Amino acid sequence: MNEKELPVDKVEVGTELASNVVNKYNQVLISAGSRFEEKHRFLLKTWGIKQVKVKIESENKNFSFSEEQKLEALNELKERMFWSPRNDIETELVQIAVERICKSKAAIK
Amino acid sequence: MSSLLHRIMNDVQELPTLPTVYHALTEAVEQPIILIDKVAEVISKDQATAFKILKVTNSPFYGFRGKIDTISKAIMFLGINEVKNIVFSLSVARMFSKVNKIKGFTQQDLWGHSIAVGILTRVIGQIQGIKNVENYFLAGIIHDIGKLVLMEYAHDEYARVFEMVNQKKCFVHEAEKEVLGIDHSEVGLLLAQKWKMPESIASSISYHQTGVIDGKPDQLVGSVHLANFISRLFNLGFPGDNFVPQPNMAVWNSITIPNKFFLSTSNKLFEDFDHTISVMLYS
Repeated sequence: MNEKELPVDKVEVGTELASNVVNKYNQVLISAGSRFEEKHRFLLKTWGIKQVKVKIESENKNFSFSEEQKLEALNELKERMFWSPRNDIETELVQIAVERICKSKAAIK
Repeated sequence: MSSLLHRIMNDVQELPTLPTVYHALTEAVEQPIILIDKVAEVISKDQATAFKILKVTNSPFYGFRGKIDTISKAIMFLGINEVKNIVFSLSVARMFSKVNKIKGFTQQDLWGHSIAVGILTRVIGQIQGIKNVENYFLAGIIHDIGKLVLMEYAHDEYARVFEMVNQKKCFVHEAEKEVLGIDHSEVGLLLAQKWKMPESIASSISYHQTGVIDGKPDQLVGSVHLANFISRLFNLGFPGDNFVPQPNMAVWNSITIPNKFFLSTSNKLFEDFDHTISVMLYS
């Protein structure tokens, strides 16, 4: 998982904060590890904080598994799932599920 | 009405009510002025609950990481509604902890699935910008409560349901309809009514499989529906069968999730799930 500084306006709700967000008195406003919430935007603006450090997962992490491994995992998933994705979010979720199966198989080996 | 449902309706009337600590919290929330210390005192009298609340509050799920050392602080940081919902979840888990397992399905399996749906429903609520997401967690965690009631009050008949699930490779709710003539959402609704749960929570129990109420989208019900689908897809917990239903398109049309949201947050999600399971079920 990588870390990245992002403008408060660009942080998506649900993103994990990589470090404590503190005010000018060094008081912790939001702890590291918390998920960013919409209300935080207002809180940070109130304190004049423009950027925060967030955790970013590599979008290319799937490539650590071979095409063959991914195909095997997808076939395993298809034994429980009898439909094909219809939109981007379903495709994304299936991709994560495939990766999770690959990881658990790798852990067993 | 099926005779089984009639019997269960009678049995549900005999079910224990929720513990005193939960009722005390409910009363406190309804007061015009909430006295945190008084509420904390009520919770602290139930030491097992107080201990678990502190463990849950300090879990990575909430991000406080060991800083909450009193119940008063937990209430201040999480809000009384969130604490109340944690007490509720812990009470229900304790109430059904002695349920006899069915071959191929235990109450531990179901809690794993329920906790996953609770966490995911909350995340989906946050994405939608819902201000009070406490009820989202609760709606998710309780959506399959009818399965626990069936395990407890119709144990032998319910074992036949799981025989059918294994033989026919079908969804639990399909086998329930065929074997029992009712499904867990109808049974869960009875319990929600007995416990006087809010209408929104009762609707989540009744309609989580379709994700809509009489064909109309509903944000909370839709969120539970999607969370149920995602938890099954990711294999988080076990709801009794292994299958992944395709979500209702009407729900996708009413709930927007930004592209790559789950790609960028899934590791945190799995971490939250593992930790919450260990705190709520095994500590």
